[in-house]
Amino acid sequence: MSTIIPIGPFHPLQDEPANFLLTVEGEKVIDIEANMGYIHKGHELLGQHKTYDQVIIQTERICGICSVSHTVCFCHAVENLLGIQVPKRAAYIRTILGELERCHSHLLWAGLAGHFLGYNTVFMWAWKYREPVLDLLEALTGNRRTASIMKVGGVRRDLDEQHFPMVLEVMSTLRGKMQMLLDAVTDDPVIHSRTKNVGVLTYEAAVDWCVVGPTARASGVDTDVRRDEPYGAYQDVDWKVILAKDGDVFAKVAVRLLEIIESTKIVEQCVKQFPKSSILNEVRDIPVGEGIGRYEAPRGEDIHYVRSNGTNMPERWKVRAPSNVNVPSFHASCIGESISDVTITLASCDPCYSCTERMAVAVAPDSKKLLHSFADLVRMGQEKTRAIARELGRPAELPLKLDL
Amino acid sequence: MTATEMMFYLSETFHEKVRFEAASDKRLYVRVQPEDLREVIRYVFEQRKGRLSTATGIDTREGIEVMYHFSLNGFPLITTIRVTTPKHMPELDSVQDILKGAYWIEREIHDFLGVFFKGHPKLKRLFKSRDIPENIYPLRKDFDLDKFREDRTDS
Repeated sequence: MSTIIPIGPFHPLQDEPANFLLTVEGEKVIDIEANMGYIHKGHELLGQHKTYDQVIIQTERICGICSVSHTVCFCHAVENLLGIQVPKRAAYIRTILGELERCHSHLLWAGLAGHFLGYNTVFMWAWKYREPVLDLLEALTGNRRTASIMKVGGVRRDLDEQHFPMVLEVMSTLRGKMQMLLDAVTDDPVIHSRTKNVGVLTYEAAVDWCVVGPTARASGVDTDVRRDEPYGAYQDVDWKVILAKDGDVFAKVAVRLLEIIESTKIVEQCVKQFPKSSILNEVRDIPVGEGIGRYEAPRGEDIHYVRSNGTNMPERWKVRAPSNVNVPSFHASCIGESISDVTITLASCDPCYSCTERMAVAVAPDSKKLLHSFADLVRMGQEKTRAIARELGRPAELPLKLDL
Repeated sequence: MTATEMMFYLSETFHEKVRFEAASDKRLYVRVQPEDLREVIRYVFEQRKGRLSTATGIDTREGIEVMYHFSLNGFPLITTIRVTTPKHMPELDSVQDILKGAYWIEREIHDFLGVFFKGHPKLKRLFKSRDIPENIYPLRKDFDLDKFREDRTDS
């Protein structure tokens, strides 16, 4: 007999609501269906009634994390329409801010993944290391998250070079800490048995579901807009695309942690060879035409389409955030998993993380009795980790070296 | 692969069925007829290893235009396959059996523009707010926001 477990849509802990219906048989998930749209804000329609400069302000508010990503992506689309390039200094500023954003987004995800697995030390540590990155963004742009610095043709404000020693210091500290976290994760047999072969998205499924970003790269799909269509400073700096083969949760953890290390290297190189030039190519009119912009956001390829009719407002503005193609891959990765693995599998593609913080209520079909809440699901996931730890005779927390 | 190479491959396979509308070295726009859509998408996905980034729908004067944007892993090219369907009966063949990535994308276009995708197994509401009735499509040009607001406050 199968039971349907609705996850969501509303919970006091979550930022954004979404509803997943899991059909389970015993412990196994046999089907999954998603209902979205509880917070559809109508950005695309709104943007058609705003001027290009106003759209940028609106673009920053699409996502709770990717304020730089969406804005730069929109700028890329309009710049593609106009056929212009941005000045070198502006390109470097965009790259530095974008990579800092990638660092803090991946750290936030690592913390949440640790929480879902029952390793609350990882949660505390990852979020502790995230704080200095946000402080850097505040020092450089004036805001912790919404940078308000992008403009079609360049950037609005210059960065103050007196902050650069601080950037270098934070980046090298962060790299050391990430190396430590990576060693702790890869050495721990409990994390291995909890994440290896869990929520596997095979290479074929990843191609079929057209997934992007770390979700695709963990399955061996070699895609990265930063390399495929180099923008910003990525051609000038030395970095590499992180690839893994297995497609399970472990591969996704490893890809993200290694990407933070790559990001710190990119930021360091950008700061060291920060060029001197103007920061803005002034744009007067937007001609009739259409443009497509791409950007590698922390979660994957972000793509914006803009069509102009010659007025100061776009005729059509299409936004496709990476989660929009990554989330449907649950159809492939969650089926056949046990319920206690579903939280981490749903979390593993970083679906704008709040999409995972769902209230989950299981209702027995005949009696309408409540079986599970979301807290229960998380607890089930954490208990499974502890059980494995006991079996292996390991401590229930990661042996991180405390040097507070 | 550059836009020129993609144009060569497409015109060699489909001859008059594809019409190239605009191209730079990184962006290629291809116009096809609705009946050839599945064939062209199957070719781009399976033979040329394109990845469906997204599809955009626009309400234009000629009808509802749907554009499938294909990225290529490893190349800066985006191939956009453009198809127009009449406004009084917008209907296209679903491609979600060729590539699963279209599953949500087609539902989204159905939500906001009312394009019916023939052969889609679950063409249900996905992103559209529950406040908006099924037969009202907010991204159509005839959607009247003020009237919609009034109707909502009345009820």
